[in-house]
Amino acid sequence: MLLQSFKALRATRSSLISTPIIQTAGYKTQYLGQKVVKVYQPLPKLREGTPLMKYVKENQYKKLDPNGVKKSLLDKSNPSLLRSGDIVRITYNNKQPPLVGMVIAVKRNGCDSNILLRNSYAKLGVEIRVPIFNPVIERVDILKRPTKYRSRNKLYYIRGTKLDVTDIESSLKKQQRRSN
Amino acid sequence: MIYLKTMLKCIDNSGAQMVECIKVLRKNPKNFASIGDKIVCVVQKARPSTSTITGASASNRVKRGDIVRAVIVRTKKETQRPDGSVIRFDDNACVLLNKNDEPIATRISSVVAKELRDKNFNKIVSLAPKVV
Repeated sequence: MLLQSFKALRATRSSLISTPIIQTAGYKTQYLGQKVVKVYQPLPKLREGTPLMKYVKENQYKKLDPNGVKKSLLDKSNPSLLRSGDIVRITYNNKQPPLVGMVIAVKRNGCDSNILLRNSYAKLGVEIRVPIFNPVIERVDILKRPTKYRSRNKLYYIRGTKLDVTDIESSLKKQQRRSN
Repeated sequence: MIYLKTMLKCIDNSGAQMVECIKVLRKNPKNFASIGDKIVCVVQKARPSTSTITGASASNRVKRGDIVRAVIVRTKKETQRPDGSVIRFDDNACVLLNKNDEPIATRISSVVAKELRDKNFNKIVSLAPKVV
């Protein structure tokens, strides 16, 4: 008995799928007579079914970083990624002079990712936080990598200690002279 | 964040070494000064005057206890720039001014911030050895 009813139910379901999607649910009420409810076809999926935030982020990357160079600098699977301890030069495509400094922190936050550069001019420490997906920034070059990386990702503790950054630009010039 | 009682470095050759803020100008009722803002300060520590200095720099020298105006050129508190970058120095520093907002001194010894150019302190920017 139960099996039979189940089979009947399946039969009706399959027939429902095969029949056109506009169906009429007929039931009688005391005063209004027969009522017809229209059932519409589901709307096509937006963005071909990709989640909204993923779609937005992909578009941001496409707009701000068309060739994917900046994104690859933050990609942890990339062997030549930016790490704290690297010495970096940032060149701008406006008239701003290039910026040199040691990376002491990398903050990964999608298109809002930024790096904290520390430098010292005449024994005065200067820190600049640079959002690297800024369209004004043309390129980020890694000038020098340390022989051994420190065991922390954020090097805030080096401020004002003997590990602190020295005048990077003059030391780089010295190196160039030696190599020449 | 410079306010009452903040001690600042003075980076010009006016003779002052450390100054103490006693008033932030045009920031009433309660606020703090940042890069490019003017303050009134007291000279707390000055270089000893030597008789060898002559000319304009000698007449412009300040002593301990003098009350002078100053403009802030570096802050330890981070300031955001229009392009989204944030700059922060390791100390608070100022340059002394006269009543017409011109620097008293003839030399500036270290780095100043770029924001001063927007606030019409072009003379300080051109005197400074490095602008960041």
